Amino acid sequence: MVDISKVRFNRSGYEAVLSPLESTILEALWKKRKTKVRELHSHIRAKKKIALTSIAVGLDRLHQKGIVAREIETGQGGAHYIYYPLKTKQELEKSILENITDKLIYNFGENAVNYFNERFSAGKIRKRKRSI
Amino acid sequence: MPVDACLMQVAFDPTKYVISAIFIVIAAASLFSMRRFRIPNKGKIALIYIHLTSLFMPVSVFAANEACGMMCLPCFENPAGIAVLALPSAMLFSAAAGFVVIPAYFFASGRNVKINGTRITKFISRHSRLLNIRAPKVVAVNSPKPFALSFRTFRSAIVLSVGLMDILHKKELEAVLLHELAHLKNRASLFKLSAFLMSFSPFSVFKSFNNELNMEEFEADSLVISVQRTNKYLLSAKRKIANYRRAYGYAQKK
Repeated sequence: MVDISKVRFNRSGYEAVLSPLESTILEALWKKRKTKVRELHSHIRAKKKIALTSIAVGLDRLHQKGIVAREIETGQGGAHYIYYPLKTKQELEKSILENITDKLIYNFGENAVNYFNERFSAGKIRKRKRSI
Repeated sequence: MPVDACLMQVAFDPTKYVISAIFIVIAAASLFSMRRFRIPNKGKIALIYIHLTSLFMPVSVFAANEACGMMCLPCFENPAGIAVLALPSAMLFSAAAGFVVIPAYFFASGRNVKINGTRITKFISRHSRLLNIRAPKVVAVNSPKPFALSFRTFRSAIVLSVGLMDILHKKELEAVLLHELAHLKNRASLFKLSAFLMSFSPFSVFKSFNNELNMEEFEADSLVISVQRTNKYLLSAKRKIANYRRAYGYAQKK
């Protein structure tokens, strides 16, 4: 997972750290497993109007972030990339949480660790109301 | 002789001023003839390299002279010999970049992707026979960015990226291949590279090759249109590549 510097908490789950385009692509990729850019485009186009080039860009960005992997397959029409997800949704969200927690501990030091102890030692997870 | 005396002697050595003046005159003359006369592409390429070499020669002469003074060595005892050695070696160095380094880079990076025997290579061999040129090697480069280029050195080749083959369909890809074949037919690769190198000269303001380069692209496009009998696929391929670049820039900013 690439370094997270910006989290948008107005979106839920992994969408908080990915762009809308990337989340759409990733969602489709989890359903299709291994797929070419063109196949993924025809799959997504049924629901949402996104250009083929945008999907190619989004997949490349996801590849740079280490969320998807790609292989080259040679067919009659030349060489094509085949993309497949490296992580399931649970694994991806876990790695995002890990990254954010590391950042919090790095930024706040002992205070963060003490707070986590205090909050999670009772073995129950309270859900707080959103204050902000 | 003490080092300071050497430095002083080197500083007032008339030889380097003479050599520099000669090369500046050559640079000016080549620039003038590029502007003034109608020359074929080969002559223009030669003039570009002569201009660049002679422009950067005074700098290297002064640097070498300075180094000689530091180490107290006799440097310019035979100025004619230096000029005879330096000019071809500088030309050779700049030509090596275009002839060896760039093709070697693309051949090496395209080693892992094999596209022999696909529709693309069949199309290329058929159309190069029609255009009456030797069939170029097709190299596919493992890169998601869509680009295509061609060069003609020891062996002519067309380079395609995998990203290009991903986003273009059959007819659009054929348009791109025909465009590159037209460049190979016109032997444009060396001229395009040299015209780009010319922009390193501060005097490129007085002579830029924009017009010639645009004409070259125009000719290549017109071949595509005359073969395919429509400009539909060419335009849509160009639009797709531009869209990819725009989308990529947008994604990078986030």
